[in-house]
Amino acid sequence: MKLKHFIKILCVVVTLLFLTPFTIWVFQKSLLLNIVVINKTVPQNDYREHLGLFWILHHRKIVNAENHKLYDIKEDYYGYNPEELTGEKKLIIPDDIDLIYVADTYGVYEEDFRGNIRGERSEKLYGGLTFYEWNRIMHAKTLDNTLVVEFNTIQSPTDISVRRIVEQNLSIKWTGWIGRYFSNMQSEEVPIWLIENYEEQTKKDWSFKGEGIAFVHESDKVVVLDKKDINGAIQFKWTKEGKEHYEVNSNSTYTYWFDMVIPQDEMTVEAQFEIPLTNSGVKTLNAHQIQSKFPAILRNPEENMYYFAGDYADVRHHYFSKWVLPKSFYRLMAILNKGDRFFWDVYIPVMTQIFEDSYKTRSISNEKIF
Amino acid sequence: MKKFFNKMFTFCLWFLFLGSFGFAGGGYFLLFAVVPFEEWLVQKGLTQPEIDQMLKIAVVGWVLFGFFVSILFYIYFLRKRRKIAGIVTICMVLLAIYVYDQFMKTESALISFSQGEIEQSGERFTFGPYPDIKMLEKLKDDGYEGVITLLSTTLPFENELLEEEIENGQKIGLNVHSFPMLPWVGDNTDSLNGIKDLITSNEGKYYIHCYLGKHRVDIVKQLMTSVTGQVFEQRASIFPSDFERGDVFLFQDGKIILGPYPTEEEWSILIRNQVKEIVSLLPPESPKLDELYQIAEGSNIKIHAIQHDDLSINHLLEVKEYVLELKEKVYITDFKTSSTILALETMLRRKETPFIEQRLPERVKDIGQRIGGWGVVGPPLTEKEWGELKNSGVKTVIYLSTKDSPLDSSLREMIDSFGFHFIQYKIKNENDYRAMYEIAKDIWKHQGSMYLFSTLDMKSMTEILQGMYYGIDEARFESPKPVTIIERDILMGNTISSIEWEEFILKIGIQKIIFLYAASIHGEDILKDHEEKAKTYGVSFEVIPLFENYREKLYEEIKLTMGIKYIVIPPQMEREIEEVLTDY
Repeated sequence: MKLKHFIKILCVVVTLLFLTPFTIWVFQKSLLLNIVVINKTVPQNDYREHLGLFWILHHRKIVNAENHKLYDIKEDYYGYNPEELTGEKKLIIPDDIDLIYVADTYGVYEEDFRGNIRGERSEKLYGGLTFYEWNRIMHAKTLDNTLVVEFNTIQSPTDISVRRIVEQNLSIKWTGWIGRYFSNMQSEEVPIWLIENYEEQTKKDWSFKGEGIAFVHESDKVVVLDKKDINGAIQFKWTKEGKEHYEVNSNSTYTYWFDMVIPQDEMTVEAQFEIPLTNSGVKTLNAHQIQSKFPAILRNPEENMYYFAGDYADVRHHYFSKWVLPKSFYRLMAILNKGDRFFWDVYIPVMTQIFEDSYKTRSISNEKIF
Repeated sequence: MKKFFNKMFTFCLWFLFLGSFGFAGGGYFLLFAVVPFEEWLVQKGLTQPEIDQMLKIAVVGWVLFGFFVSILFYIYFLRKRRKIAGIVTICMVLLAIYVYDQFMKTESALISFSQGEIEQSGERFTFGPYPDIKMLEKLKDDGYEGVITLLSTTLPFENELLEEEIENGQKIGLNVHSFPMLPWVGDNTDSLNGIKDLITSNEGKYYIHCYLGKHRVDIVKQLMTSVTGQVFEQRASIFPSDFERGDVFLFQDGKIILGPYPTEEEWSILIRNQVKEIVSLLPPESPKLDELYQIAEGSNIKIHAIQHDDLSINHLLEVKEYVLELKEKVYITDFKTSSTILALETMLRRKETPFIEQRLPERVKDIGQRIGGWGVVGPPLTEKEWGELKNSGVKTVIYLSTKDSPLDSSLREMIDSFGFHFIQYKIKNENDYRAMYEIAKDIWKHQGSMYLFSTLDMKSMTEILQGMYYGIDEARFESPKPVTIIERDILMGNTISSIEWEEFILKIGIQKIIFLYAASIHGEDILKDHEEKAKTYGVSFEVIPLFENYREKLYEEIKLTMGIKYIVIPPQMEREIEEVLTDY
């Protein structure tokens, strides 16, 4: 009898424990923020390029300040609609905007509709940041709101004249190089155009095996670091300023596309990428004047502007978001999901802090003086 | 016989060289010499007719140069080094083929830049530029009955494209209906009738296009409206303030247009702007009258002709009353922008009677500067001349002075004795642009035609008045600031420095500043500074954010303002904005 009673209580306790994270989320206070997300690269209805961002919006229970509803990943963004196969052309930003997030402007291409597993280049259907869109963004940008710009925004197919303006506004200068770490240089993840460009330029076959890093210049020049040139994936390392701002300690690795920018004085480097090079790797990069350390997160504290030198909001899997657990759980998720390690280790604390900063600014702005 | 063939071969080779060199070189000459040369001439402030003349000279020069080169080719190669001559000719032919191919590619960057957008108007009709085979396939998939092509068979490039389009249509099973139209007002009646018959004979969907999808499709849109009753969205366009034969003036939001007799290209601007009636002031013997009736008939335009050799003020008053009563758009025309046009402009703009040019004192006729049909700036006059001035219809006399140049009391008495309304303005000196700008604004409020005189140099005052109400004299204009002259009353350029407010804005009488504000380039502080300065100097100021829809707002502002508009632009956007401001 006693055992039965004990089991019953245990079941109730376990059930309660199991339900607690979700229950806390339900009763968690919502954060009211007006956010505009720009993502032109939505060829499929997986919304991958802004998936990570919306996960955090839901996880932190950030709601639209106008209608007090959770942001909808399918509706609440400006860009390409994969269900209607149309791209929006008029960016509307409300007057009391708190945060503008430019996730991706690369766009949608003909081959994308055929799956395009090998990343073949094809005719652009929609994409590139226009002068008018950027003008609307800068028109809405004040000292009281935040702007986050992520790779790819200023690269192809954005017009070079627009890029120059964005660079000037963000106080950065793109070196012309982008790159990516591949765990297997023979995998289907390596775009076909990259292989073709390499083979055409070097007159050699793409015979790399194992891990490697490919760099592509805007002129289409390709530089490859083989497994003998590197000691693992690209390292993401916090600077002193980054650690102070985000209350983070652990560094991480980054395994997706990045760009290499040079910050101006106004920008603070909060984190940087470091390529773990061998001697041969150092020689290769030196020969092409490519830096092995370059900014990963840049922040202009005066203007409340951020530049992320990678596809940070891009997440491979849909994770359930409506729960509250200690921060150490993110670390556990990072270990369990190696492909999205950067998301759990870095992106969540960074964006959570940025949202909280925005919320504070909003609260101060709305505070009644009299 | 051999000698004959030899000579024939030499001639053929020479002819082939001449043709291919002329064509290939001509293509490059057009792109890399004529186009930059034209841009340079525009920047130099030359008028369109002057530019046209210069370009004609350049083209004739190219033809002569071609002949000269071919003669050199004959002397130095064909006669002496035939092998080299053969190779050079082959290269030249290949180059000519390449140039031809480039012109044929409608998707090339140069052509794409000028192409209009595809615009679906309702269920049945879609308007746009030349469709390639991919687009034809898509139209077929989308259930289109056919394509109506307006490409002209008389233009070699268009003819080639037309053949290609018909072939593509046959390949994929889509009807291509050719109704050739010329980009200017030619005899397009047959084609328009053909389109009318086609679209009324069935209920199918059609894609209608010309080369760029801009001008000819606009004319067809009007036909469609008259046939189907459906109103199609017209491409927003600006109306030029100069035609080849003189200035053009717009009233009542562009419903009444006043200007000289249009050239062929200018006629198409009127038709695209849906002018429904022409009021002609051409004299009865004018050779243009027949042409006018012919064009009007072909374009469904009504003609109201006032045929008098000497038009009086009363005739013009009748014209004014007539056009004010009309509900549709009307164009009033004389052969040139003459004193008749300026008199009518005064009646419509100031709602007043203009002065009579012929009755002005001889000295005023010779050296006086006209401000439209309502103002003259001239010297102090004699008693007889004041009388003649009164007789010409001038009602107000304005004297401009400094503290050191008071008006002689006897002169004042003389002016009063003729019953003029007398006003005196004081300025610090002849360079007091700020005061003169204020005076120029104030003068507009006074009634009737006016005569301005002074013992001072009135050059600056005249320039301010001219600028504020009409525009610059493009041929003589020397800008104190680097600007692009779009038209007599539209200038554009960079932001205005502190010194330029007096030395440029006030000095040339700019009526309004339109700030095309690019937040990403200008910055809010610059905008605020301009707003404050405009307020301080009393200059009208309007901000248009550079968003996707700036074009329509800009056109509206320009249409509503007389006199010079200075448009502040970000330098990065100069080319695009210039295109927008000249998209007639």
